[in-house]
Amino acid sequence: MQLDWSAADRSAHAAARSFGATLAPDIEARDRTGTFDHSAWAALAERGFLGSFAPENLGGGGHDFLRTVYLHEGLARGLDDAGLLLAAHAHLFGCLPILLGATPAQQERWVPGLAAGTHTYALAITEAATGSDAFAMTTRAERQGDRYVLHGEKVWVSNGPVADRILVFARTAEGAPMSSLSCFLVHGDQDGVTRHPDVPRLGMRTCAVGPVSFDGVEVPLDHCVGREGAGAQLFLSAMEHERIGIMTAALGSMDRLLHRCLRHARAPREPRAPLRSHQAVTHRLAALRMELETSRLVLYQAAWRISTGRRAPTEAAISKLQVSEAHLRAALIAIRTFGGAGLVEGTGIERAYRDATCGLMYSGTSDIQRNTIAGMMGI
Amino acid sequence: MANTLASVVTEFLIEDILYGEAEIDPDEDLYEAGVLDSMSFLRLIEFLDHRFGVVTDMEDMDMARFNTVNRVVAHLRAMNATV
Ligand SMILES: Cc1cc2nc3c(=O)[nH]c(=O)nc-3n(C[C@H](O)[C@H](O)[C@H](O)COP(=O)(O)OP(=O)(O)OC[C@H]3O[C@@H](n4cnc5c(N)ncnc54)[C@H](O)[C@@H]3O)c2cc1C
Repeated sequence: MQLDWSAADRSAHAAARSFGATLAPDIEARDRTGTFDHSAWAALAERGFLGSFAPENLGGGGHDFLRTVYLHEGLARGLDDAGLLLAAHAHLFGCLPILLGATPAQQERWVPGLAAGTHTYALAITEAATGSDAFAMTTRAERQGDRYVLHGEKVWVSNGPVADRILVFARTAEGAPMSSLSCFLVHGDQDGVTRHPDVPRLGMRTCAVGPVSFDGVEVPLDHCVGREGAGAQLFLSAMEHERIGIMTAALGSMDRLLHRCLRHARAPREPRAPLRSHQAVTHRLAALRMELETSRLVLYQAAWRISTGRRAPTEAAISKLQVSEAHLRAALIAIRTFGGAGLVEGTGIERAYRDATCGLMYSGTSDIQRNTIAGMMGI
Repeated sequence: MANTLASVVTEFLIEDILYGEAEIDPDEDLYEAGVLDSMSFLRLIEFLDHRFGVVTDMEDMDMARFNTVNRVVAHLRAMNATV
C-alpha cells in the first residue's frame, strides 16, 4: 500500500475538515429531538460530498475511492453530527449498486440527481424476520409482463422516512442467493410504498431511520439495477465499499474525541494537578491514539485495494469490525477521561458513546464481520 | 479569511500543541514562549509532513531555523509547500 497524498489532496482534506466544522452548531438540540438538518444536507450537496466518487461527467466529484475516503475522513473530523454523516453515507456509499451495477443509460438517468443531492437515496436490505441473514430475505419482486411487482417490508432503512429514491433488494426466484436476488430502484412516492416514521433510538438520532413497506409496487423493467438474479453479487461488491466508506465517520469522531481528551487532560484544575500528571490517564490516551492509528491503517489499506481495482472482502470486514469496535472503546475512554462530566448530556461525549454503539450494527454486525473473515479463511 | 501557510501553522500550534485559546506572534520565539520543546518540535515536523507533504531532514537541522512561525513558513516556501 502506498499513501502519498498530493498537495491538492492535503488541501482538500483540510478544507473538508474546516467546512465540516461549520455545519452542526446546534447538534445537541437536534440530537435531543432527532432532527435532520436539511440546510446542512444542502450544504453537503453543494460542496460535492453526496457524489464524491460518482463520475465527473455525471455531476460527481470523480474522485477515486481512496481519495474519497480521505476527503470523507476530513469531513468527519470536522463534522460533529453522526446522524448527518450516516445519512450522507447511506446516500453515497449505500447507493453503490447504481455506480457498480447500473447500465450506462441508467447511470445517466440517476447519477446526476444522486450526486447533486436533488434526490435523497436509501438502501433497503434488512428485514425484521431475517436481520443479519440478509440473503434469506422474503421481499419478492414478481415479473408481470412489462413490470415487476414488489411485496415486502424492510426495516432500519437509513433515510427511509424521507428518501424519494430507494434501492430495494428482493427475491426474484427461489433457490440459492447467488441466482435469486435482484436490486431495484423504487421512487418513494410511488403507489404502494409506505415510508414509516423514524424509529426513536439510542444514537445517530439526527438521521431518519425507519421501515419502508412495499405493497404491490409496480417497478418498470428498466429499474432493475444490474442483471436480474445477480443481486447477491452486487450486494457483496457494494458492501465492500460501504463498510470502508461509512467507517470514515468513526475515524473522524475518534480523532475529535482524542483531541478533546488531550485538551481536557492538559487543562489546569486548581487545586488539583492537571489530569496529565496521572500516568493512568495518559496511558489511556496513548491507547486511544493506538485505536485511532490502527483503525486508520486497516481502513486505508482496504480503501487502497478497492481503488486499485482489487477485491477486498476480508479487508473490508476487518475494517468495519476494527473501526466500529475501536470507536466504542475510544468513546468509553473519553468518558473515563472526563469522569462524571462525560456522562452529562450536552457535552458531546456521551453522545459520541451512544452514536458509536449504533456503529456496531449497520453494514453487518461485528459477529457478521467475523463470519466473513473466518469464511474467507475457509472455516 | 483565506488560509495562508502562516495561519495553518499557527492554528496547529494553538489547537494541537497548546490545546486552547492563545495567541502566537509570527516572530515570537516559540521555545522561549514555551510552545515548542523537544517533543512538540517532533510533532511540528510530523505535522508539516502530514499536512504539506514536506519531509524535513532532521539530521542537519538547525533548531534555530524553526523558532518562529515566520521561519517555519520560510522553510515551507523553500520546499514549495502550498496551502
Ligand atoms: C443506525 C442503523 C442504520 C441502519 N441502516 C440500514 C440501512 O440503511 N439499510 C439496511 O438495509 N439496514 C440498515 N440497518 C440494519 C442493520 O444492517 C441490521 O441491524 C443488522 O444487519 C443486524 O440485523 P438485526 O438488527 O436484525 O439483528 P439480528 O440479525 O437479529 O442479530 C442479533 C444478534 O445476533 C447476532 N447474529 C445474528 N445472526 C448471526 C449469525 N448468522 N452469526 C453470528 N451472529 C449472528 C448478531 O450479531 C446480533 O448480535 C441499520 C441499522 C442501524 C442500527
